[in-house]
Amino acid sequence: MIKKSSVLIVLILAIIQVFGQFSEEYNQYKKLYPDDDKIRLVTETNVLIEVVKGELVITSNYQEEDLYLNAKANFYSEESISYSTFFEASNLKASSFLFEKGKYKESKVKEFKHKDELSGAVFYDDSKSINFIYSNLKEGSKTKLSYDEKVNDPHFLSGFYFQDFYPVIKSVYSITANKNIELTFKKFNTDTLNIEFTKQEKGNNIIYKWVTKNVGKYESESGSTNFRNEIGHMIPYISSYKVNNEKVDLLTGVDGLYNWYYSLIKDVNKLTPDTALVNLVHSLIDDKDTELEKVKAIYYWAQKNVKYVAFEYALGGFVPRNANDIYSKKYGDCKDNSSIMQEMLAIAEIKTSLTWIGTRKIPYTYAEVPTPASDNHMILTYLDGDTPYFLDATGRYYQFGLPSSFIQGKEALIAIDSANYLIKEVPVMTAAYNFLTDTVRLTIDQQNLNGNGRVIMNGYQKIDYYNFLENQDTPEKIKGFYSRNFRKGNNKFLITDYKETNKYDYEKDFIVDYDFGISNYIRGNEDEKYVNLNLSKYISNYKIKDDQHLDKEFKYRNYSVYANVLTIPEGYKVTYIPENVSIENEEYIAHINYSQNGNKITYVYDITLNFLVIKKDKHEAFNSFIKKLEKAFKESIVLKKE
Amino acid sequence: MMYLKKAFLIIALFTGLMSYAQDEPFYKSYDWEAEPSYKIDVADSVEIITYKDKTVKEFIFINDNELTEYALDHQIIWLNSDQEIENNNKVYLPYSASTELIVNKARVITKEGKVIDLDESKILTAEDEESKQQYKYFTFEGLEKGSFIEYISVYKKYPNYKGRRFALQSSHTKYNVEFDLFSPSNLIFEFKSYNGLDSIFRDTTMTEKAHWSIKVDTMIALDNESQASYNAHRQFLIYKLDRNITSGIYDISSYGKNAENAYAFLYNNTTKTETKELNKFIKLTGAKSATTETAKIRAIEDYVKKTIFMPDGSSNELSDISSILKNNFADETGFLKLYARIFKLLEIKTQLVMTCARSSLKFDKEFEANNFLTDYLFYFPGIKAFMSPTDISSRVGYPPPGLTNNYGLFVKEVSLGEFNTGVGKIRFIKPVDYEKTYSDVIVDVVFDADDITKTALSIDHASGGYYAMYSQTIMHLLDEKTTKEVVDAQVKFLSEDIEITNKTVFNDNAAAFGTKPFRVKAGAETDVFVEKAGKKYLFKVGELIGPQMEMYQKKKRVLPVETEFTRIYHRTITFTIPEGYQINNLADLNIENETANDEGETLFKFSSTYKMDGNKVTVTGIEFYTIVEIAPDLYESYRKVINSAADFNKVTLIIEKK
Repeated sequence: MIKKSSVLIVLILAIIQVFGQFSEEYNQYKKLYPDDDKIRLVTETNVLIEVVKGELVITSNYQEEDLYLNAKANFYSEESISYSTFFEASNLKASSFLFEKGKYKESKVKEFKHKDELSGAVFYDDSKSINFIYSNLKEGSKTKLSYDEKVNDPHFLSGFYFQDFYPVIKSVYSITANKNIELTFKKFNTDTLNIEFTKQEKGNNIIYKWVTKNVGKYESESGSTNFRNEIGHMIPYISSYKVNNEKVDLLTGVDGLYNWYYSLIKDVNKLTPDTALVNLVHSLIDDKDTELEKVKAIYYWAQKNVKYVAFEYALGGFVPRNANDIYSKKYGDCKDNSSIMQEMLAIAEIKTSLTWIGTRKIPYTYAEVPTPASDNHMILTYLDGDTPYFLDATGRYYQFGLPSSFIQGKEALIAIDSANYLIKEVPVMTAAYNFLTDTVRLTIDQQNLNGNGRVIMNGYQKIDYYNFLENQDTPEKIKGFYSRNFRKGNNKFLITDYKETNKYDYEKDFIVDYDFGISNYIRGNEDEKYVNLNLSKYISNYKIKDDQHLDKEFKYRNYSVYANVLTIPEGYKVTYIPENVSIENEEYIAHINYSQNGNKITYVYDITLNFLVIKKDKHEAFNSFIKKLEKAFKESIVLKKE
Repeated sequence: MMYLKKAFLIIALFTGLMSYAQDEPFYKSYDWEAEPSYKIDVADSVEIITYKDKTVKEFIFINDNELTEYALDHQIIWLNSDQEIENNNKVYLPYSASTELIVNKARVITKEGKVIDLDESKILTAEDEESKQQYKYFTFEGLEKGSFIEYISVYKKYPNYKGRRFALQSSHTKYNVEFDLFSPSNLIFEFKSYNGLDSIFRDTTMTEKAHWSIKVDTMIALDNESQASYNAHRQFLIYKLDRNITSGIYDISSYGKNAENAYAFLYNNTTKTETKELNKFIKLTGAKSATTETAKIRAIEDYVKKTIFMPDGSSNELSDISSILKNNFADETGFLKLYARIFKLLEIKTQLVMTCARSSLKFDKEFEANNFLTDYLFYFPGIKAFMSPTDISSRVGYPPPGLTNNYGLFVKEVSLGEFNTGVGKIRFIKPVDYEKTYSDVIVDVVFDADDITKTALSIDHASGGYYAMYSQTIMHLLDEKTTKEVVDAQVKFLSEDIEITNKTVFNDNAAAFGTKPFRVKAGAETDVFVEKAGKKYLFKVGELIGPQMEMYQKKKRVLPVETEFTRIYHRTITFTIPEGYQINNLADLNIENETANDEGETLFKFSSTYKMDGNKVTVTGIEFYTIVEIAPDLYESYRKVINSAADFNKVTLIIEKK
């Protein structure tokens, strides 16, 4: 029966084809993109920049036309447009087009619903969305969307992405601007794209236009570096313009950006600090002798006491609040944290600098892109002579001198005074700084492997553990947490007791002593026992899947050592010890060493992962490094009854 | 959802009945302490304690006999860790056209006793036109460890009295937990307490209003155990309006009306045009040519779930049949109507089932209240199967597992002469039989003649029931990459490190679901299953059933374990011992563990055995679980069976030279 009906369906489909169920256009693109749900036929952005009454007025018109290539079309019915104080959306028009009886029939979207976006990360901001539904989308349907956007601050001209998450057939971007407006265009990852650029004078205006055709889709992958590293895009910005023949500078390189940024912070903390705040500072620093110790004390206080709550409304997203206010509220975002620390240190008569920085999501240097597109974060810098200390109090447990992991290697734009700034690179912390050692004493009891261990850690590894431990609020949960995270051998590993030392300390090593058992771990019989001493094989989790093609990013470099000392049971002797392994190169190092001393066998496995990014062309080499280790992990020692 | 609720709600009960002079609502005379001096005396390791949790529900007539509800919530919470401060320092209070927020105040009392009032100007608002919801929200200022946060909110709203749940217990200790309900003295509410909570008390000294209250000085914390239906086991009460003693209307919240209203909502006001459109739609589904009732239902369900989409938000269009068929969108009530009317046209008998998710609430067949009627299924008496109207991955016979193993209100059509209506009956929704959800794996292992650590595998994995539901029914929605992942996962669950050399996929489509297994046959190569110890090889045969959960014995189990669905596994592993080698510990493969109930029926079982034929070894395993809810006294035996599979997973055979 089933067979018959499927034949019937095929027959019906064939008949429908004759009458042209689908448009010419659909047939053409379905052949070219058989595996895609949808393609963007056209994306067009036309930006108009004018000077009106001495002010820059920027309006963009966006147009998009999509074609749906399979039955999943109706899952694309919901659409939404985001806007905010800086980007005001208007004139939104949207329609869906159903292909019927040889032609497309338009149905206009009538209901547009506005929504304040309450996102998780930012407590209060001005991001809003307009939401609507395309009706009756089917395979072969099309949608068209167009809207205007007014850019309310000329520093925030949007970038343009030539590539998208689906194939783009034609992509047009143009800027029409008066000759007196000086523009700069920075392109990224466009080498492989065939972009046709034209510049045309029309009256007093110049039309800059970029056209690309048939751009393949960008496929995101988990664990990869930010899409800005891959997608072809361009960031335009206005360097200067003229009003009555007078040149007005806007974003003239880093100097221009700094001048504007400085104007936003120059009035911060002009009030007299509250007595309570002054008293607090003195209570924190009065017993400290050196400047460094004082900075440290205030840095730790801020991390512990100012909770992260972000407010980003209009330029409020760029202007730090005053220290008195933050002190009484005990919460704030990155700018506020920086502001209160700066004021507290000023009370202590220590000069520090507000500092703009882009997290590792943003791949641009300030010289490349001297616009607000280059940063998204603020910290405070304390300069000890020439040595900068980057203070980011949005987190907890950061030791003085340890920058937050997500700004490692990034440029910091440090405000000195109204005319001077510095650009310094945040260090990438060494693998050795982020260490974890796990030393274990093992005994064999029948088929069970028992032992006690001590884990010592610091750096980012320690901070990660602290953050997870904050959620474990009972001894049972903590025990379970360590049983999962210190797992050895297999899931029969169970921690029976533990003791924590220096827990939540900002500076000291965090130490966990624990007792454990792995039931039924020993292979073999009375006569001969096989013990695999490779108990910690976490490196396998780093393996990159074959179908992953993008650069992979990691939070921090790290170094771990696992040392297992086995007491050979009485009456047994060692008849086989596996070979030692040593793999070393610039980016990763690993050793496995076995040694015997009397009735003890010592196994030491150390591994250094000395990178933040594994480039796509190095995936294979990295995987084969892991495979070599996995091969070594398969070796057991042999104990024979004497 | 909202629309259906409103349609079911008939409010002819009060009009013209009341003309008592009512007192002021309770909230007007209620306030927090002017000079708070809250004290907590516990160990510093305690992170959070609720110092006060007072809830007052008041039903009251205002503006000429309009029944209104005031809901007051007063919380004082002591926060003593960074984590708890961050979890509790923000408050979001939703409101809408029918739910007005009339009091909203907050303050912080620091460890030193300093009181920081929240300034009105710090309260923010947000609006969502799609959900028609608005929010007021704020953060507490000046919080540090050891502070108390305190807030009072009062809502004035459209009254909700036909069955509401109120939970008093949570995962941390609470002091001074109070619940009060006030109503006009002629409106009598009924209450039921659950999970060990004391009964509510009626204050008979008060005559101008009816007043019920319960106060718990110290409510102990209920730990949220893994795999437990936590919300269903917290101490809570349910209240409902039962009768109006002046007008003599009884059973106000009983299910009789629900059944009638549901029936009317689903079937009444069908127009001729609509019927025509529906018939046209039915033609597209292929249901007409199906010969069995099951096949007809499948055809309808499959077509609707593939073509009609449920967007966020609500509008009248989404529940109007003509609009649904025109636009291909529907909301929950729209889907209910659509299916009900289609099945009626096809003369397939259906019953609407109203129930609730067992993870949060156990349907109480003794206490009729509308809060048990939150989720919908269709029941087909002809084939004794359930269908979910909205879950796009579910199909008839396999309703969302969370809506089974619970009771439900079944609405059956009855004819009273010319007139048809619905009559409700409470029945149990049985979980799908364990043999219908299966995973059958056959693995044949061939050792490389030159290097025993290398193996070639032939894997045949067939899964059915819920194990196939979340792949077969959504396969058509997946992109190429995800499709490959879903298919490969059927084989790679053994290990990520096996290299698939060839594969054939069977029945990877929604039409096959429920009748044929989702099946992948693959050839693969790997070196992950054999390790070395000197000259001996350690064959990790147990890993050929994939990783198995190990359950640890921690504290004594308090809450029942609830699993998603019942299930069975069959495993067959075959291999030939390499020439010149032997295995002496094959007996390790024999593992057996099972538990039966008092009637002698096996509830869960793991069993593995082996057979030898020359050098060829065949290992067979069976494992099954026939119930979804495992009582605490069965926990240990359940754990043993689960861990038997984990034990088998560790079995390693030693291949040594003869």
